[in-house]
Amino acid sequence: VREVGELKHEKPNEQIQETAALYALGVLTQHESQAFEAHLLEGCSVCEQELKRFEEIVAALGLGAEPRLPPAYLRDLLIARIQRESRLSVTHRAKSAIGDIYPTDSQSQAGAAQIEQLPAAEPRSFFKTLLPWALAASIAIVALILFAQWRRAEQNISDQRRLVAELRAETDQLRLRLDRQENRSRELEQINAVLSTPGYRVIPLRGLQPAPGASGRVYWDTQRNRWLVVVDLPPAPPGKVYQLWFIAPDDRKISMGLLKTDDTGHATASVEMPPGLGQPAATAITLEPEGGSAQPTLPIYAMGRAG
Amino acid sequence: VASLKDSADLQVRDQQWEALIASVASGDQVALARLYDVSSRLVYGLVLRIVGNAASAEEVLLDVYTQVWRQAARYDSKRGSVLAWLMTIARSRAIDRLRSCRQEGQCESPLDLASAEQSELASPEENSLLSERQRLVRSAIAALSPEQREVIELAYYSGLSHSEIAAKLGQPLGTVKTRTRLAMIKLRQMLAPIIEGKL
Repeated sequence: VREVGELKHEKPNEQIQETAALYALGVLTQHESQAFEAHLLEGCSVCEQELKRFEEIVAALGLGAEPRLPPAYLRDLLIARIQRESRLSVTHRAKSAIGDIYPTDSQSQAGAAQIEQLPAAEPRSFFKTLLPWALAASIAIVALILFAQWRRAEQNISDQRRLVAELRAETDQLRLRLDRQENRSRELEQINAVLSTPGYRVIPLRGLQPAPGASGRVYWDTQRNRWLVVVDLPPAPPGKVYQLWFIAPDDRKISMGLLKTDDTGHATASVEMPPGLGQPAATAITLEPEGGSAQPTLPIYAMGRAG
Repeated sequence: VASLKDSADLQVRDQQWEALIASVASGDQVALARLYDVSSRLVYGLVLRIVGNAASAEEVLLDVYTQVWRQAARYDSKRGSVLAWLMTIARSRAIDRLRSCRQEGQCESPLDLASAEQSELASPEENSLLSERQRLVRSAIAALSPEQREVIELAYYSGLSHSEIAAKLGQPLGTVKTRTRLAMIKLRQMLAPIIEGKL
């Protein structure tokens, strides 16, 4: 190798042949190989010719091995692999190394290698210019999709919330109606209980000027001396309460208690009559300040005459 | 000695293989499959001989044809036949494999053909013209002196460097180099019909 370091050769000698033969067989050290390649790059056609002939020998020596039948599935694997490669063939062909088949490619085909790099510029430019844009576009698309999904999820959540609110309101309405039905049912039971006692009396109440639409009844259990009062009045304004009065024949007014109306103005009360009161002349309902009054203030909202 | 007709047939065959390589270079998968069908026995035989076990040989065989697929455009008929090109790639990939597994210290002996012999031999009659080339190569190798044959086989199949071969044989490096040179010159004379395209 030393001998071929610097000079071009006129004709083959033993040293040239030995180096070329060893190089063709691939048994030189890396350093020796590089020195020989450098010499070839200087353009020594004698060494190049020797090498070419030895490389042909080395290639032919492969036929010295006994042919063997590879397993059949390898063919399928190969087809599958190159089909996969074909989908990416542009990049693969660009990436594959140049000139690793023939050891002297780097030298004698330097020109060819440069030409081969030209088509490779296309896929490379794909990586340099198109790929970032493609990536950016992909990211933008993903972001859009995520945003749309987020919007949809947000919309869903607000829809769900509205639905829950509606259901809750509906439930409240139903519960209210159920409560009223239960109250009404209890009321009817109480009415029935009074009506099933012997000697009961009913005093109808009629609305007077402030509340002409008001109505009600007093179911009087004369045996137990209890009144069941059921009235429909205008809902009591804040700070005011309805009060029930016993009006004696001598025009004394005795409070029978307060009537709490619900938001529809309906009220039910069961009151025990003070003993020794005797027969009322009438019964009346007035609107009084919260807590009630000792004597009724006018006007009277509803009134019924006993008798 | 091959007849003139055989030689002409062989040239037709070489041209067919060159056409296949050209199609492969243009991305024709069917052409690669065809090339595989006509050449894989020879390639596999060589690879198996070098790496010494079937599992590695199968991987190398796939690598060889994958490389052919990628680099078919670089095949240059002026540098030799398609078969020579294939065998050069095959030997190169097989020795790469051998050296890397040798570095990892888990190689089977390259010449231990216990597993290799379980694989089927290709039927000899399927390609009489190739067999003619094979016969010539084998007879040329057989014509070498035992010492020359030893260094050539170690150099060709083992992936060892010249100094490793010298150490393995217990011979001076210069002796190994000289034997190699003489063996190669002798082979060059005997294989001239192949090199010159006459066989």
